[in-house]
Amino acid sequence: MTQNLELRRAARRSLLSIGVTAALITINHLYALGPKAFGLGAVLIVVPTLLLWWFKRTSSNVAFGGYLVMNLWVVIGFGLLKGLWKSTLPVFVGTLLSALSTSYPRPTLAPVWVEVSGVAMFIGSAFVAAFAYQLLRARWSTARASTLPASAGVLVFGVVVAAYVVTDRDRWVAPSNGIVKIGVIVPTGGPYAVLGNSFLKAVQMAQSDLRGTKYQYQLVLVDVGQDPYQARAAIQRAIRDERVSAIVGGISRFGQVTRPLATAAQILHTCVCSVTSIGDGAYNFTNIPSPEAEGVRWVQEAQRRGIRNIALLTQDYPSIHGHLEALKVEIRRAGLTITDAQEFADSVTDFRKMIARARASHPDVYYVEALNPQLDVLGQQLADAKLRNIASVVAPSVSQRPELFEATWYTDSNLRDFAFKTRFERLYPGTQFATHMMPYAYDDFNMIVQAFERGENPAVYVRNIRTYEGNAGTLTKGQGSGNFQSTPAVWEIDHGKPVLLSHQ
Amino acid sequence: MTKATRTAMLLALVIGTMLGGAYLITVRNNAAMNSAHQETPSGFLH
Repeated sequence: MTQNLELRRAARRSLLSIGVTAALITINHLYALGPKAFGLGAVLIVVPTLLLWWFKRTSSNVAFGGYLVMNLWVVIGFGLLKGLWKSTLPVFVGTLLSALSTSYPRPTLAPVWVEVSGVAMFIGSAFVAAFAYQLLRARWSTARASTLPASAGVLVFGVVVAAYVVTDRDRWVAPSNGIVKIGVIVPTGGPYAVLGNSFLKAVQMAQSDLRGTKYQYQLVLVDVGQDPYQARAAIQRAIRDERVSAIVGGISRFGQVTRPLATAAQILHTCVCSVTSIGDGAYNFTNIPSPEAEGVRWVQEAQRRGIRNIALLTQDYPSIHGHLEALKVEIRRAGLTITDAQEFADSVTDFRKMIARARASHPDVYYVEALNPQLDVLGQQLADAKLRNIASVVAPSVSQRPELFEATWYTDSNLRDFAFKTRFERLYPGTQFATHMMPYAYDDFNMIVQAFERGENPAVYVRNIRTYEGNAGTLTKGQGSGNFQSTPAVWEIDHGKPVLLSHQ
Repeated sequence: MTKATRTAMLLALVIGTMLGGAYLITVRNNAAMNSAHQETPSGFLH
């Protein structure tokens, strides 16, 4: 009688713990499975309930065994493998380790509710295990609880934590056969042709500039096409089949696709990308001047030139919005005046009315920013209107007809040594030099080479960099940051060619 | 206070600390790793 009561109470508690944990599992899996998570939750609640009901009615060993198997699934599959290994340990141990040593990456965590429900899932599974043990004891009439399961539980937990500490660490692995494979992920066609080819050639130049290195550095060019979503499979192939040791990439939309893949593979990914969220400071790092840095430098130069009034003629495009917003902040801070601001859609080809309106506002300078082909159409119409007091951020450097922008000044990436550009143009006469891309690609490649030559894990090496004397001047990076910062320079179109006016 | 009550309170405290700690750590971590927001490229097609 007492044994029966004990068994019923243990069964009730066990089933309740399964129900609560199943609810937590459902919440946690909504992130990955969507509404299908409710199906999973239903299975985890209904099947054990039916098995226990069957057992209560018939005392069937099959039913009891099935119920225990469901318990094992919840405890091992969801509690230990997911709740403990994928949430609890990364959140607590991973964060602690990354704070203590840069050999450990800061863990990449899911949204808060997913991680918290993951930890709760682990806690719930501990209750499931404890109550399943009570049920077992009640079933087999064991008089006293043994301390063995508790000790074994602590031991297993300790082993799991130790395993996590060992596997989470980024270690130096010498390249097999002395060959380091570096994936190059950048689109080179369509709208990305100028930037992408510039990037690719810069990396190839950096590779050919290597002298007397311990290892051989092999570029693995990944054909990513022009669609970031289709690029995913190609990047995965490069990581899985080609076994690249690190990735240099460019263009944010492709960097966003590469980021989770590099993180999962635990390999370094540097990206000449303006989307700063790509740089997580663990495996992914961006390297390009921020729009804010461009804005600060532009306004400094405007003030140096005695400019007070500015008319804005800009294309409606996300990239340009980024520059414009940063620029407006600096203009306001410096007390300058925007006399006129006009934005045009990418269908506009006749800018004459806009130019006339801007002219009527009597600006000291016309700030012009657009993408081709409109950039050059606008440049032609500004030249026809005999306007030469034009300024910009980056845009003239990607013009197909820079002579239209004669005497235009603009901010763009710095070059420590102008001969670098000349050398590039001599090596690749058919490739347009994108100043906003090339020096960073060159530096990114060399960072990876330096890591291998020093015998350091590339991700750990880049995590530790605070300043780097690169081709685009001095790069800086805050502790834990995934974004290299650099100061742009002022350029001018002189005799149809970009000329570097200042370094600072 | 019985032993059972003390144990229950201690368990509740441990669970609360774990969940609260996980919440705070994840919020801070995601903010530091720029995971919480999406941006559009701000350079020239960069």
